[in-house]
Amino acid sequence: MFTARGARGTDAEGPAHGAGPDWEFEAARGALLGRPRVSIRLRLSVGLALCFLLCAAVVWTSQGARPASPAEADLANRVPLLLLALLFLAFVAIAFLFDRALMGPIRRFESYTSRVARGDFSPIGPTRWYRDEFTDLALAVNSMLRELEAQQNQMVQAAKLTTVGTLTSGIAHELNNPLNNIAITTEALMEDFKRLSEGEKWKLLQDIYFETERAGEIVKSLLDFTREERPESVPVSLAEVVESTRRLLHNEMDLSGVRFAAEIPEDLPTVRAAVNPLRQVFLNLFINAVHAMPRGGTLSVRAMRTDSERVCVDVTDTGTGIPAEVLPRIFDPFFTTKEPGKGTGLGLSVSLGILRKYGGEMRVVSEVGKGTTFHVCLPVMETSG
Amino acid sequence: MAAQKRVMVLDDEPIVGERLKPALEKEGFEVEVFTDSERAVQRLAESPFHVLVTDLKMRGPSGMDVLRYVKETAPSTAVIVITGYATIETHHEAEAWGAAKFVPKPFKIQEIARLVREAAGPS
Repeated sequence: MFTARGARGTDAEGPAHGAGPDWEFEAARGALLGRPRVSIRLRLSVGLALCFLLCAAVVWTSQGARPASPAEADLANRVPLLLLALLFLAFVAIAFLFDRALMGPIRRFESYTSRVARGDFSPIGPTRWYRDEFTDLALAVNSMLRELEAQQNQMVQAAKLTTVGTLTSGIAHELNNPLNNIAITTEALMEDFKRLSEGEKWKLLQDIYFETERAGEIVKSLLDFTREERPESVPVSLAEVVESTRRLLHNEMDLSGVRFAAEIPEDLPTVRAAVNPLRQVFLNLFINAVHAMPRGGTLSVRAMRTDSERVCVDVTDTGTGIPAEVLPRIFDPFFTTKEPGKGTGLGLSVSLGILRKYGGEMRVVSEVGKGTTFHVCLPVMETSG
Repeated sequence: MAAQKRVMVLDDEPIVGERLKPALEKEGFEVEVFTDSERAVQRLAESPFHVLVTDLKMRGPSGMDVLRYVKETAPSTAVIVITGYATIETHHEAEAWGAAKFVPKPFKIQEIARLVREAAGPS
């Protein structure tokens, strides 16, 4: 049912919702088309015809036959006046109806544009019992919104793939190490099979076993991240998201000499989000932090409950910092200071979009030469039961 | 018989050293294995090696740093780069710094043994 939009309202407070799925658009389309058509053109034609008839009546009655008596003459004088008054009323009524037919929808569409600007792409539903030219406009806007939503989703997916792409050196290549260990250990085992003692063979097989596990872990961490999942709000443990993201970047941090320190209280409530999108947010923040510390440093993550409704996380690096003139633009789409091929400028804007979708926010504080802190807040969502 | 040729294997993956050492010793080389590039550089400063087999990405000085150091201090040392992070850029860079061979992981022990034999030259 399209009432989803009604529930949200055109001026809904709070976060911009992601657009509804396709069925929501289909339902809105059905609801928009499933009403009798009373077009503005039809109404205009009827109104004008009425006015024309009244005019004709005025003219006809004023040129009528000579009155037989004074009383009749009196009546003959009054009829055109009465009809003129009716004509005037008809004009007023038409003006009033047109104001309603035009200005009302225009104002409504105005509110739709501000809703879309906030990132809420949910479809427009019917607000009247009939349909007219504005319904056609609503249908056109809905198909545009559907397209916009699809593109937005593509952008989020593209940003995600780029994030995975930047991890290539850290992960896909990282696989080569356990693979190499397995390959050369197997080779050693085959080459010297007859000469090796039972104990030596056991040791080699153990190496193969654990290196296979290691390779599996690497693949799993990557798959976990790229898996499509329904972006529904569920209670999410921040500690788990931070830890799984750290694992994904473990090698990268190790090689860059970045120390990782997390301070997450055990009794921290769960937050409203979805695991993978939230992981994408932290992955972006962590990758940026590692890139900001080419000569090593500390990446610290501190989580706390700020009030009864919010949990906040500070992601702090001791890196190069962001110059003040750049700072206001870092959440803009396609804004990047990284060299070509290293960043698309989508990471932070998409991350902010993800957080806002779940009612969260992100701020940044930075000082050149000292480091940067991203302050991420999300609403608390307690696990039930 | 001439003195044994000396080979250093440097890789932060312990298994690489563990597998290459016996295979290269079987070929008649004297092999020293390091997993820490800083200590490897110290050892290289103490005494020269004929062949260095080194990984690229490591904590501390990278394989490229070690390669540069070796080529500055002991240019006759042949360097074979083994890496899981093989890219065209790293390949070119390693060659520009004078690496004799560039081998992406996963490799074969026998392949490395052959390359070390070729790099060490006739004994």
